[in-house]
Amino acid sequence: MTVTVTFELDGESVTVETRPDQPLRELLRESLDAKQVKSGCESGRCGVCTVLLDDTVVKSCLTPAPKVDGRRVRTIADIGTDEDLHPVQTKFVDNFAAQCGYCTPGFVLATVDFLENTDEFDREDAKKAIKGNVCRCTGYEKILDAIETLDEETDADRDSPLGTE
Amino acid sequence: MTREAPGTDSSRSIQASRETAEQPPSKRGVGTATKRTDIASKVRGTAIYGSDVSRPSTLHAAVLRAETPHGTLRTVDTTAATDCDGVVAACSRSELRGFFDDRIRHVGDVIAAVAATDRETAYRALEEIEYDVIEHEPVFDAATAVQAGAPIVHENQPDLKQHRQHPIEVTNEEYVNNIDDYHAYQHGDVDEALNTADHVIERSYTTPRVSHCNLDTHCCIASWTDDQLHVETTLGNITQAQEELGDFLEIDHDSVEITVPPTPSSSFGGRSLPKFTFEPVAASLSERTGRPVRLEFPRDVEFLAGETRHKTEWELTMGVTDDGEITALQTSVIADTGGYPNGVGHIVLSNGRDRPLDMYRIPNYEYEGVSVFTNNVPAGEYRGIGVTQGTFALESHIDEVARTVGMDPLTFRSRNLLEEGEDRSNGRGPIDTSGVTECLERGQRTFERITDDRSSSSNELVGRGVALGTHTTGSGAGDGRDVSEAELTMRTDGTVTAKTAGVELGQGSDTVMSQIVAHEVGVPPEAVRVERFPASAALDDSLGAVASRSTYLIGGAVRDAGTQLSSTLVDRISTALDCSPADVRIDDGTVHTDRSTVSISDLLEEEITVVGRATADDAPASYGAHFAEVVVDPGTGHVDVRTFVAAQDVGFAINPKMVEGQLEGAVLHGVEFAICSELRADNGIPENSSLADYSVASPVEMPNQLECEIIESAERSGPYGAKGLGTPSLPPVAPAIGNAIRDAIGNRITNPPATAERVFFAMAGRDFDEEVPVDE
Ligand code: FES
Ligand code: FES
Repeated sequence: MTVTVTFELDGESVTVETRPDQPLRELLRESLDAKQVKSGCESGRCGVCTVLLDDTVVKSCLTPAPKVDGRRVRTIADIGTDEDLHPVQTKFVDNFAAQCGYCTPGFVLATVDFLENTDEFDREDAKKAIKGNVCRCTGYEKILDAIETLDEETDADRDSPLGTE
Repeated sequence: MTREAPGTDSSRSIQASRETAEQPPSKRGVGTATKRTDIASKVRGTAIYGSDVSRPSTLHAAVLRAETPHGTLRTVDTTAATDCDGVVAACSRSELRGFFDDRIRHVGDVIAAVAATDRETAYRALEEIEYDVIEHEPVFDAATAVQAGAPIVHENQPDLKQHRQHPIEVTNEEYVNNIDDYHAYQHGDVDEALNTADHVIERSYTTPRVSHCNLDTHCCIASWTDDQLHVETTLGNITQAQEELGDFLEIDHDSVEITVPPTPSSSFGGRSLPKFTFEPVAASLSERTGRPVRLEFPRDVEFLAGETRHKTEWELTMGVTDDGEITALQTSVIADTGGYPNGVGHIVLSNGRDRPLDMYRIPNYEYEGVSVFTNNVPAGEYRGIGVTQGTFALESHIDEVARTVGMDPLTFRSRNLLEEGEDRSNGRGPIDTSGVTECLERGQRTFERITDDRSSSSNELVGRGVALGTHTTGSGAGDGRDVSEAELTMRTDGTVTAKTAGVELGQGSDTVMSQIVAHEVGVPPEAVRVERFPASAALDDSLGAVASRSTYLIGGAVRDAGTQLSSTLVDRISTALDCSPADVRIDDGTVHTDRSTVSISDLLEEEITVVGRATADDAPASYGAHFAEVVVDPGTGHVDVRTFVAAQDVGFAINPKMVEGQLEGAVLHGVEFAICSELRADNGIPENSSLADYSVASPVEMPNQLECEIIESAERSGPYGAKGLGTPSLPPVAPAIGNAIRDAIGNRITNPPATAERVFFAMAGRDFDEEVPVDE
C-alpha cells in the first residue's frame, strides 16, 4: 500500500509516494536523495538523522513518513549557506567541533532547536540538550565549547535564533 | 619556554615546552590551531560519506546470516530467491568467491547472499532461501577452546590469507586446539626472581568485547571491469587491504583497486582492513551479475561482523622489593579471536608482550600469549590493539602492588620508570624521547589544582586514580621497512596539490598536511589541496592511515617534499627577480625581497613537482599519564567520573586544537571501556546488538571536568618533533578510572566495564558475575 504525502522540504514543496510504515529518514534519503540526512541506527539513539519538523527536533528514523503530510521539514541543507554560515555552524567551525563530521548535521540541528527554546543556559543544560545525539570522535567537549560560546553571542539576537532565514 | 595556543581559553590552556622545536615562519603553519580544511562541508551537511554514495545501475545486496554459532551447511537452496521479481542473483556460501567453506563459525556468519534492484527486494528474497545446517557443539570461552578436546573451530593457524601469518612453535602443552597465534618470550630468570622477591602479587584481569560503533555503518560498492575489481569503501590501510583482498579472492593484487568515498568516516581501527563477510561478498555478487553491487551493514551486523576489540584474560604475577623495585613480571594472556583469523591476534599478543618494557625497568620477564578461535563474533583492530587491554591489566596490577608495599602509586611508578636514553630490558635499544616524567608532574599538578578544593558529601564515595600508558608510533619495529612518499605540485597560480597515502578519517590528517606544506613553502594552508594518490601511482606507501603513522610518517614525507619544493621555488624566484636566494622570503603566498613584494603567481611560469619520502627507522614511543577522580553512589554503585586529566606526550603539536580533540576522543573511548560498554552474548548470540541496548558514552558519562595537558618532548625522528597520538592516548584512560574506583570503594573491579551492578556487589566484597567473594 502506498500513500502520497505533500510537505515542505527545505523551503520547497514536494509530493512523493510513501508507505504507511516507511520511516521519514528512508523517504528523505532514498526517494528525495536528501543525503545530508544521515543514517546510523534503527533505534533513535544516535541522532544523525535529526531534522526539524515544524521547527521542532525529531529523529527521522523514528518518524513515520506519512506524519509529515502538510508540514514543514528542515534539514541541515536549509541551515546557513556556504557563504553565510548560521551562527551555530560558525561556532562549530571555530571550536573544532567536528572530526569525521558524520554526527555534525544532527548536532547543529539539535543546537539550533535548543537555542530557540532556551533563554539562559550553562554547560550542564547544553549537555542535556545534546544527550540524544552520539559522537564517536570528539568526546563532546568541543561541541559543548561551541554551544557554550553561543550563549554569550546569541544573547544579542535572541529574537531570531534561526539566524539566516 | 611556554606559550598559550591561539584560541584557547585560560581554563584549558595548553602549555608546551618547545625549546628544540623550530618556530614557524608562517602564522598558520605548524604549531598553530589552523582551522580544519574540511570543516565547511561537515557543518553544512554536504560531505558525502560511504553510505551516501550511489552509482548508476547499482544492485543492492542482502546477506543471509547464521543464527546459530557453529554448524556445517548441508544444503543451501537459492532457487526460490532467484525467482523473485527484482532479484538478479543469489549465491550460496559455497558459490562466493574466495575461501568460503561449508562451515558456519559464528552468529552472523554468511550463509547466502542476494543482489536485487532495491534493498527491500533483496531482504525479502532472503526469506525464500532454504538451508539445512548440522549443528556442532560450540565453544565460547577462549581458555576452554584452546585446550585438548575442545570443539574445533579452525585447525591451528589456518591460512585464510590474513596478513602477518608467521610460523609459531607452541611450547605450552595445554594449548592444543583452535590456536590463531602464539607468542612466548622471556629474559632474566623469573622463577628465581619471584622466589627471592619481598612481595609477590598475583592477579587476573578480564577485558570485555567492545565495538567501535562508528556511526556511518560499513558500506561498499564493488564492481568489475574485465578482470579488475574496484571497491569503493572507507578503508584506512588501502595498500594492505588490496593485497589481502586479492589473496582472499585469488586474484592478483594489481587487479584490486580500492578507493575511498569523497569523505571517509571515522574508523578507530574498525575500518583498517577488509572484513570476511563484507567486501568479498559484494565482489562475488558483482562478478556474478556483471553490475556494481552495494552492500551495507545494518547496525546489528556492525556488532556481528564489524569485528570487535579482542576480549582478553590476563594473569599477572609481579615480584617487588620492600622499597618498591620491580624485580620480576610474569604475564599470561588469552585473547578471543572469535570465528575468523585476520592477523590481528598477532598484534594483540606482541603489543601485550612489548609495551610494558617501553615503560618500566623489568629485569626478569616472562610472557606467554595465545589468541584463540571461538564461536564468538570475530575480533579485529580497535584503537590500541592489545595495548588498551594490556595496559588495563598492568596499570591495575601496579596499583595493587603499590598498595601492597605501602607506597603511593605515583611514587612507585616513578621509581620503576625507564628514563630517556635508558636501554629497554628486552635489548630493543634505548627509549628515545619519553616525556613521561613531565606528563606525571604536569598532570598531577593540574589534577591537584582542580580536585583539591572539592568537598564531598558523606553519602558519596570519592576515589582518585592514576595510570600510565605508552604505545609506539607506526606499525612496527622501526626497522626501516615502513615507508611513505608524497608528491607536491605547485601550479602557476601559487596553489599546491599534495598527493599522499593519507586517509582523512576525521583525525585531521588533511589539515595537518596542509599546515606542513604551508609551513615549508610559505603559502596559506587554504592554498593546499590534499588528495590521496591512487594505488596505481608510482608513489610508495606501505600502510596508509593506521597505527598512528599519518602525522609521523606521511607527514614526514610531506615535509621532505615541502623543503624540496621550497628550495626549487626560491631558486626560480631568485632567477626571475635576479636576486640572491637568501634575499627571498615567502610568506602567506607572497614573495618579499628587499626591492619588491609580489605574489607567487606573478612569478611562476611553470609548475613544479617534487616527491618526498620518509622511512620509519624508529618507532618512537608516546607516553601519557592520566588522572581520574570518581564519585560512587553507595546506594546504587553508579560511577560518575567527575574529573579527568590527560597529560600526553605528543612530541610536538602540529595543531594543538586537533591534538586536544584526539585526546578528548580517547577519553571517551576509555571512559566507555571502563564503565559502560560490553557486547554481551548468550551462547554466542549478542544480547545488545543495537545502539539502544549497547551503551556508548553520552556527554553525561564523560568527565564533568576534563583537562588535556599537551607535553612536547620533541621527538628527533618525527616531523618538527611530532610522534603518534591517536592510539597512545587511549590505553591509560580506563585503568586510571579503574584505580579511582578501587580507591573509592576499597575493592577492585577486575572485569570492566564497572557497571553499577558490578560496583554495588564489589562494595560488599562480592563478585556480581561469579557471586563469590572478591579476595581482597
Ligand atoms: S539514525 Fe535516527 S537516531 Fe540513529
Ligand atoms: S565527529 Fe565523528 S562522530 Fe562526531
